[in-house]
Amino acid sequence: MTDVQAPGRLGERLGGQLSVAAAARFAAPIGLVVVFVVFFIATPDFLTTSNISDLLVSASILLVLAMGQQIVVTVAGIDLSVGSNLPWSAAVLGYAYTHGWGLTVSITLALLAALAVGVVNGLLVARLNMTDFIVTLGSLSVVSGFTLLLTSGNTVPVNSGFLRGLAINGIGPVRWFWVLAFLVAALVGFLLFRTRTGTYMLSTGGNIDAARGSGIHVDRIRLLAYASSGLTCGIAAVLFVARTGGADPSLQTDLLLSSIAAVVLGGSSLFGGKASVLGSVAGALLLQSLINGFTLVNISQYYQPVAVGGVVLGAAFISRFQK
Amino acid sequence: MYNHTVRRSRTAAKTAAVAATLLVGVTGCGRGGTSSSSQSTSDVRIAIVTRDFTNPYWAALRDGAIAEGKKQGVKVEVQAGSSETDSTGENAKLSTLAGQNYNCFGVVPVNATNVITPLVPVAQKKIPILNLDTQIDAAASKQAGVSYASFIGSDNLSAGQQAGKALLKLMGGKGEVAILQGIAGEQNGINRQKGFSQEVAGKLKIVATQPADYDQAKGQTVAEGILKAHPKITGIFAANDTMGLGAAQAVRNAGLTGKVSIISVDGITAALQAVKAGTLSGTISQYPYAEGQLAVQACINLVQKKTVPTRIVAPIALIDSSNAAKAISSFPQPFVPFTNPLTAAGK
Repeated sequence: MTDVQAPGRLGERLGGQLSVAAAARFAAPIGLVVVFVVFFIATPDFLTTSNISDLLVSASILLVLAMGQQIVVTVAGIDLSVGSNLPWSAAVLGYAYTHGWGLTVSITLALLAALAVGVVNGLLVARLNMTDFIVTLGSLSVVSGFTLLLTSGNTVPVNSGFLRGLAINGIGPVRWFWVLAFLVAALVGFLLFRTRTGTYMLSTGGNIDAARGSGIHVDRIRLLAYASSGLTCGIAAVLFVARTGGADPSLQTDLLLSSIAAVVLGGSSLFGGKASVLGSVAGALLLQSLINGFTLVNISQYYQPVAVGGVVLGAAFISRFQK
Repeated sequence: MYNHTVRRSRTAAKTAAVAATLLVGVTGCGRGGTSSSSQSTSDVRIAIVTRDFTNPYWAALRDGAIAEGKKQGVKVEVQAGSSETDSTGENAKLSTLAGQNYNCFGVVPVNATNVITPLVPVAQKKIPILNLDTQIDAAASKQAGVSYASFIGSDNLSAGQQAGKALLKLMGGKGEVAILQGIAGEQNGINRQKGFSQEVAGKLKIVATQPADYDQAKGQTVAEGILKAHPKITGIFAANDTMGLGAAQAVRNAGLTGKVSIISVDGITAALQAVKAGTLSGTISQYPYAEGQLAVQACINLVQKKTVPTRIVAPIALIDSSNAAKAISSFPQPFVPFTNPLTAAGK
C-alpha cells in the first residue's frame, strides 16, 4: 500500500516544487505582467503609448544602475556606494561643463570619476580583503562628502540642448534612454554569459575558494566587477543629468535601495554565483511600474514604499523555493 | 470583459504578447485624447507636483489645492516625490502626469532645474504651467522653451526680514545669534538667510551659520553643538520650522529655555503649538494651504483664457505667543485677511 502510494506522492510533491521553483525563477517577469494587468484594469491611462514610453524612460536610470549592481552581486559582493557615486559623477559632469570644458570632455570626466570610485572599492575589497559591505558603506559616505566639497552643496545646472534632447527625443518612437539602457543590459548579459570573464565571475561568486583553486585570478575578477559597477554609475549619472537638467549633490538613497531590490527581484542570489540579467531588467521595470501605476490611480503616497517593500519581501520569500 | 477572460487563460508569455497588441490597439483608438476647446470648469484638469508629503508644509499645499478643487468642481491631482531631495522621483511623477490629459500644471521643484526636462512636452502642447513656491531656473527654462504663466509663492526675503525684526526685538537689539540653514543651495533658504542677515546687520553678531538640511533631528544636533561652542548666544534663526523645533529641544535640554530666543519660518502645526507652549519664540507663518488654493484658482483662470498676474505673492505673518492660539484655531487658513489678486481680477 505505502509502496504504491509513495511514488505518487513523491511525484506530486516534485511537480508542486517544480512549478513553485519555476515561479520563483520567473518571479520578476510574472510580477511585471501581473502589475501591468492590474493597472490596465484599474485605469485606462496606464497602457497607452505615451505612458509606457514614459515609464521606460523613467526606469532607464534605475535599470542601468541595477546592471552594475548585478555584476557585483554575481561575484557575491554588494555595492552600496552607487547612492553617492551617481551624484558624484553627475557633479563632476556639472563642474566640468560649467567651467566651459565642453560636453564631450565633461561626460568623459564623469565616466572616469565614477570608474575611479569603482576601482578604489574593488582594490579595497579584493586586494586588502576588506568586507564589501563596510567598504562600500564607507565610500558611500566619503564620496558623498567629495560631492558636497566639489559643488559646495549646490545644485549645478547643466544647460545642454544635447542632453535635454537625449532625455526627450529618440529615433521615431524609440527613445534614446531606452537605447542606452538596452545597450548596457545587452553588454552586461554578454559579459556574464558569453565571455570567459563572465564564467569566472559566476564561479568566483559561487565558490571563491574553488575558483581560486582552479586558477582563476579572483582578486582581478572582483576588482573588475566593482569597476564595472562604478562605470555603470557614470552612465546612469549622464542620464540623471540629462533628465534633471543638472547635478544634484544629494545622496540618492532611493536609487541605491531600488538597484539592489531590482537585482533581488530578478532572482539573482545575494550570495553570488547566480545572475539573471533579464530578471534584473524585469525587476527594475516592475519597481518603476508600481510607482507609475500608483501615480495614475492616485494611491496615497504613503502606501507606495509599503507596496514596493512588500514586493521585495515577496520575492525574497519565493526565492526560498528556488534551488 | 471578454478580453480579460481570454487573457487570464493564457500563459504568461502570451499575456505579454496580448498586452502588447492591446497597447497598439488602444493607442490606435486614441484613448485619452479629449482636448475639447469648451471652457466650463468641468473640463479643467489640474495636476500639481511637489517635493514630498512627509513635510507637513507640502501636505498643507496638497490639502488646500484639493479642497479648492472640490469647491470649484474641478479635477485636481496632487503628486510628490519621496523626500525633499528626491529630484528623480519627482521628475518621474511629473513626466507620468505630463503624459496624461491635464490642461494645467503647478510645480514645486526640488532644485532649480530638476523639473524642466519633463515640462518640455507640456510647454510644447501650450499647456499653462504655474511655478509654485520655489523659483525654477529662468535661463535654463527659457533655453528649453518652457515658460511659466505665473509664480505663486511667498516672499522669502521678506520672511527672513520679518524673522530678523522679531529676533531683534526679543534680544533687545544686541547679542550673539546663530543661523541654522536648510539644504545647501536651496533658493528659499538662501533668500530667508539673506533677508535675515540684512535686517540684523550691524546690530546682532552672527557667530555661527550651519546647515541642518531642514531636518528636525539634525537641527537639534547642530544646535547642541553651537550652544556648546558659543555659550553666549541669545538667539537662533532657523530657516524652517522643523529645524526650529530641533533647536528648541536643544535649548530646553541645555536648560536655556527663555534665555535663548528662537525664530523659524513656515508655520506648521507643531511649530504653532510650540509657540503657544513657549518653547519656540515665534514662527514666520506661510500659508501653503492658501498657496494650493491660489494655484487651483489660477489654473481655472488660465484654462478659461483669463489673465493671471505673473507673480502672486502668498501671505506671510509673524506668529508669536500673542496670536498663537488664534493661528491654531484658524489653521490652515490665514487668520488675517489678505488680498487675493485672482478673485479680485477674475470672478
